[in-house]
Amino acid sequence: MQVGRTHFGAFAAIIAATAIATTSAAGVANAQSVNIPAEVAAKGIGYYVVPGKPGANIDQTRFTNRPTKSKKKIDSFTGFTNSITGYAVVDSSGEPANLVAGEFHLPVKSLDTGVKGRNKHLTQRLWLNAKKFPVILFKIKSTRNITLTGDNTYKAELVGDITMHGVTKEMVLPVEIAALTAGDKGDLLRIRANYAVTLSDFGVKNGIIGKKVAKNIMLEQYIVLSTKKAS
Amino acid sequence: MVKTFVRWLSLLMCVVVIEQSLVLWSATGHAAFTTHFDSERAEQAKQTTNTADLFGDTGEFAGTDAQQIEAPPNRFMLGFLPSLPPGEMWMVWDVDMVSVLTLAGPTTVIALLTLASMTIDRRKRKRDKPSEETGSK
Repeated sequence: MQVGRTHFGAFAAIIAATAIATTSAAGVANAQSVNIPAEVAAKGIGYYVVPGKPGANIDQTRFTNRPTKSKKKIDSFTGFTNSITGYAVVDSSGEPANLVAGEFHLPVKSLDTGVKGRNKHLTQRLWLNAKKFPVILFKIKSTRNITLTGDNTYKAELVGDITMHGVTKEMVLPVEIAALTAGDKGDLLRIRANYAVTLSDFGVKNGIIGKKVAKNIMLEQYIVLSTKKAS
Repeated sequence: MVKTFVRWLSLLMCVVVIEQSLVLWSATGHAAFTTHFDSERAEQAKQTTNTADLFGDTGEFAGTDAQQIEAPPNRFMLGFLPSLPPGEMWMVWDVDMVSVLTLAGPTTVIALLTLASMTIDRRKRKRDKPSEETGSK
């Protein structure tokens, strides 16, 4: 269905954006558990993504398509996922916002738009092609422009490579990072990011993008990590 | 006369079905595609880690309902279009097949056919009536 294809395209873009988590072919056991390689763990303090919804009204990732060329409600949609796994390594100096390494993995099939047919479209070849590229990956390279904004809260820019649909692209994501110690839950980090992803940058191209599907998909992410790995 | 009555009744039923499908579509949120309550999603919502609550008082990020993009609602919404995955449109018994299009569409066709048959019959009667009057003279 044409409309469905439109929606899926948008989703694909969104998912790509959410790509903060993705699996690279090597170094990851599966989407359910991501171990920190020894050489990466040696760089500092390791934090693991706490799986699942962070809060009752909060999802790890939400994405939305708002095409500018179409004012029809049918062409706008949002989706979410709470299947991100991965880790981040904070510099050994202990500054919580100074992430020196990390990987976030997001299974493409976990993207949920609330519409069964649209979810299926999203995974197809015209969009994210989940069969060939099952996971979206974000690999942290460094953090820059770290600014303390409150008690253990920071604004920064996360530099990393997003791999989606077989294409890897470096992106700089504006993030808000908060840290706290939560007793039996371990030391926690919260990373929030709002940004847009351009579908075509990741090789997702078709006649629908730019019309019923926005060229840029808006993403909002809320990821909590802990020094204690979930069992 | 019976035939006319049945046709008018049929037409009325069609209008009622079309009108009610539109009313239900409007009442459930003007959704583009039909969605249903997802019990698994609801269960996941209950089993949150609640870690976001721990950051509730953290500096300027206070508050847990901080996401600006609203998640899609988890409830039944009659959509204008069915929400079956591609290639599964033949599964007419699937709940995702139900939509304004699949309810009002066939009904509209029936209504139009009924109207067409009534119109044809009326024209036929008009055509026959003058010839009957001529014949009686």
